[in-house]
Amino acid sequence: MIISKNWLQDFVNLSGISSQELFKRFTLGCAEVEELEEHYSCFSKITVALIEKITPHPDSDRLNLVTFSLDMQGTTHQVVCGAANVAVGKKVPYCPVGVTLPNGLHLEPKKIRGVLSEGMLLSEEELGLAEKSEGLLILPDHTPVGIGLDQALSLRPDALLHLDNKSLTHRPDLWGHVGIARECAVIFERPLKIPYFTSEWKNSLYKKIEEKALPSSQTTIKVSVDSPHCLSFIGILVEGVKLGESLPLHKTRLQLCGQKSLNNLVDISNYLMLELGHPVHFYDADTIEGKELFIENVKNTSSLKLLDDSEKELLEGDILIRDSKKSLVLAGIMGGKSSGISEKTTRLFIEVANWTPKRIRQTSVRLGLRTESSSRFEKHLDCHQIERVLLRAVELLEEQFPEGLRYHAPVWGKRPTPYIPKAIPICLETLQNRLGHRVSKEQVVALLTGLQMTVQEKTPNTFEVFPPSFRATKDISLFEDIVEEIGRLIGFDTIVPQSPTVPLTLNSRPSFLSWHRGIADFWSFQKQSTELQLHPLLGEKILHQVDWMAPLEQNRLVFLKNGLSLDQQFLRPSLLPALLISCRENAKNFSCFRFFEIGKIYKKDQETNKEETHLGIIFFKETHPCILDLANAVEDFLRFFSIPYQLSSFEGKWPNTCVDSSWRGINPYQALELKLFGKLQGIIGSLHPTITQKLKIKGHVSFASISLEDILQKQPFKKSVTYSPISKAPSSNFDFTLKTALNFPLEEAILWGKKFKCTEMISFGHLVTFTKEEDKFLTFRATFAHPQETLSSEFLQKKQQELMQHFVKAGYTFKE
Amino acid sequence: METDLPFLQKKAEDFFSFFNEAKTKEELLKLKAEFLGESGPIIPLMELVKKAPKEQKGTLGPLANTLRSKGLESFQKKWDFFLEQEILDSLKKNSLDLTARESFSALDKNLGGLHPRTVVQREVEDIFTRLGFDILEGPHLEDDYHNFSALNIPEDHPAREMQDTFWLEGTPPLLRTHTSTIQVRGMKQHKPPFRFIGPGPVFRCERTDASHESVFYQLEGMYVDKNVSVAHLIYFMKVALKEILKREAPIRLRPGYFPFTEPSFELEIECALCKGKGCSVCKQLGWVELLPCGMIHPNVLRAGGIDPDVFSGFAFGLGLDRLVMMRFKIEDIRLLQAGDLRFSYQFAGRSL
Repeated sequence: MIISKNWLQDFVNLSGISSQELFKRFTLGCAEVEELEEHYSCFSKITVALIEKITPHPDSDRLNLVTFSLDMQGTTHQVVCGAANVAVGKKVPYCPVGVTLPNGLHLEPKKIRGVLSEGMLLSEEELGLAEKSEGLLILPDHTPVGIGLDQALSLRPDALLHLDNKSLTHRPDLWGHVGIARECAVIFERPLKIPYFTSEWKNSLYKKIEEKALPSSQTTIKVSVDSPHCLSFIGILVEGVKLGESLPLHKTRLQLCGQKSLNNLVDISNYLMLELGHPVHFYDADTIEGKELFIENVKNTSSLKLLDDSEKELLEGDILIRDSKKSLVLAGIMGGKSSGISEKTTRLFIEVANWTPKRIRQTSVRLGLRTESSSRFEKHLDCHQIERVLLRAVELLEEQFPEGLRYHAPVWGKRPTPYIPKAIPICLETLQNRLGHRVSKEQVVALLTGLQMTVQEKTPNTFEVFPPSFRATKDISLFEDIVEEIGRLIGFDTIVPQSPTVPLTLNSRPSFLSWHRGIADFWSFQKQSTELQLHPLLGEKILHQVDWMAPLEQNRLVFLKNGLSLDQQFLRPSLLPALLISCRENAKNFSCFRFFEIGKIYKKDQETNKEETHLGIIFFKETHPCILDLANAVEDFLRFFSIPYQLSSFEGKWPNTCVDSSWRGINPYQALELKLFGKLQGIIGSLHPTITQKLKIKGHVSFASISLEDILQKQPFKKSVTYSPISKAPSSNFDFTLKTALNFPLEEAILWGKKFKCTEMISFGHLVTFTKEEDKFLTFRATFAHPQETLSSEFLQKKQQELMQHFVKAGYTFKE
Repeated sequence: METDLPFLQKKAEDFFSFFNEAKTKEELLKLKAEFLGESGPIIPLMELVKKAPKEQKGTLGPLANTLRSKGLESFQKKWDFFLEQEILDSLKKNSLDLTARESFSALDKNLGGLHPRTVVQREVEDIFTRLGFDILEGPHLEDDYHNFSALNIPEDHPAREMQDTFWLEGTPPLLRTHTSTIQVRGMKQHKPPFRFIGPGPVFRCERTDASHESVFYQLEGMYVDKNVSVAHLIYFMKVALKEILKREAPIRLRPGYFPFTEPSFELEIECALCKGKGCSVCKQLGWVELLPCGMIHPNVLRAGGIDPDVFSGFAFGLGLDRLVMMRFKIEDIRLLQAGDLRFSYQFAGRSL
């Protein structure tokens, strides 16, 4: 909302307070001002000049040297000017050096092609009065020479405060200039002068209505209210209006506050709203058939063409205003096309009403129709101001049409229930404790009274506060609300920071945090992988690119009802799709990399949405396969954290929490399934070349996806290490090589070797593999040792023989 | 053949320098064979010792032995010299190019490292842990109660519009719009006095641009005890922010509005770029919003099972992504979730 400083000054004298100060202190004392916009502030420094002589510039065809005077004493000045419409005898605006123009140009003495120019003659564009203009602004001939441009154009300098509407959500009283003026009066300790709250003012307008009353024989428009959502309603029928242009003051103010000036009648309704903060509605009374308005809840679905030419469907419960024949207005939101003001309008019906905020909000949110009107009503306006607003409407109409208006008696459709203020008990000590600041009783009473609250002393230390009706709808009802009022007005900055005294407690790092940190550190620093955090919202396109899911399985995705774009339709079902796309993008810049992400994935099970924490890893190498590096790294990871696991080759027979077995992205010959705590909840694999090709990735992509759900439930770093003393006796190695088929799995031989029964064999493992033609040669090493004694060579030879026999028994052949 | 002692002694001593002057290993070996051979000085010397009369043997024997071992010593010395020379030569021949380090090869290296957001988040968590705060987490998929009702935002309250909510098919029906959802859970888990923080991602149905994301990280904080005041809130925020920003920045509180706190504030820090004068970064305001906060609304305390007549407290929300951007001068919030290693590698492989 935009607030004009000049308009505020109708109600509170702000003289001597700079715009900057208003901006700062309003922000600190009331609500956020997002921007301060100064208007015409330089116009008083720009003067009306009379052009006396024009000579061509000695060094240019296009430029002239223009001599002009600013008074009748004969002193002249000279500028270089390029405007085509410059002519002797014309009066134009002149800006001396040292002034900053609205477009930000700061005028300095300047030589133009060798001739000094003392300032500048201005166009409308340069003055910020038009978006584009040609030539100088030529002022009327009767304009006195030497006066300020502000005077010449009757444009008062103004400062506009752009308020953040969000910060006014809880303040229905601040949606017009009157409310803001009230705040300024308290902030700057200036007297408030709003006539509309006095009975003199009220009586004078009723008198005016009476003086110009139509004979009572002529029937007015009746109002019958049949909706609980109409909280109050007053209307008046006015005859003798005529569509035309607004008064200049109204026009200027509306434009400065961001409202387009349309015509005198519509402008008055907008002026009222911006001044008193209460939306009103003007009907062309001749379009109301049957001389009666009915206010009711919509019972059957119908539709209504609105002022903005849109056709909206009204549903049961919306509030509708209609006449005996047709629907007229969507109450509190927007008027209908049929009853709007037009050139034909001579009789005007003014509606000032108040509506249930919740109902207005529901309808406007559903229709996506957020109007100035609905955004005010949904804040819960004060019912008790409608009469005041109506009378102010009459006053503005009288200004616009001093002659010729005739009034019918005002009609109450519904009178507001009388306002009975509720007491808020305040204890001074509790107030001081909550603020942590000593504030005196006198100060509290003065500030609250300034806000037009009634304060009644109960005991020397306690009192009761009664808020005025315009603060009581949603805003002030609790002790805490009073704390806020006092705090903001004394200035929260005056409160001295104070350390609390609390008992010592020992808090420990929660296990989920230790896991997160431990896992991220392991992959970052032990496995040289980069941590990524990818966007958890995905679109179908990404899933298609990696062939993630059959369309039938989409009911397992958690869809957004109001996704913003096709790239953000649902929550990610796995970390892998986005990681793979990231791999594709990064493969364009790097020939090898490793990265991982720890994050939530989301699944839908029947109607229940679930989230799980997963770990996703990508290893990429342009030149070599990296599946073994990745599998080794995953095993290191599980061992590092003492997580029991089983790895087996991927079969896709049983459900895996991390991957759908139907996913075509898995290379069937390079994939392992990971079982944790008895469940398949991980996969390590290589991306199927068909997908690699589809993604146009040149290189080898391996991925792992592991559910951390069960792991996070365990205590991190649970298992302690059992130390065993180092044997003093030397150990002895025995190496041998087996000849196998090319596709023979190494694991089988290792497991068989480990089955050899001999307590002195302390380890058995694989050393090296080489292939020759159709054969594969695997070299193993068995290590023998005894904790206390050195093993004899006879014993070793015997055991080695037995070990070889053990392999022969299982059908293995040794290398010759 | 000369066989007298002085001659043989001189002949043996001459070998000492012959050994030293040898040019090659082969020449040296040949000299050694000569020294110990039939025509060398040692064999005749031994003969001499054998033949010598008894009384001379006592002096002659050791003399011959000394000459022999001295000769072999000078041989060995030269031999070792040749061996060392050979190793040095081969080292020179096979030397490694120590400039061929990873730092000079742009390709083929894996840079491990944490996400910049993780780095900043850990730092902030640790600061609050030092101040005695617990760390909690909460679900991303939320119900209406935790995201709105329990936070004093009843149905159809205009404040619901302040945070554009992503609604979901199924239940829970929405994505949390703020980490304040942790408040009620935290209050129910703790008995006052308590203090905790809860970091994590939040979701807003907003158009994205360089400073807006539909998913971003917040850190919620809550402090409850008897007689907690605005003065305490300011104290905590000052202490924490000094650590977080690593500098003492002027701060100010201005009134704000949040349904779950009363009074509510926007804590602002002086714009680091223009030092409060006003510039394009702070939209000419001189101050930058950093931390919405306030005294917990009594209705929220009640929802957490805490009696607002006995206890009071404050709550705050810190925009973690904004901190990350400030710390590393990142110009576009979307880069944090873009997964581009050209971005990540600027933070990887080093301690931050």
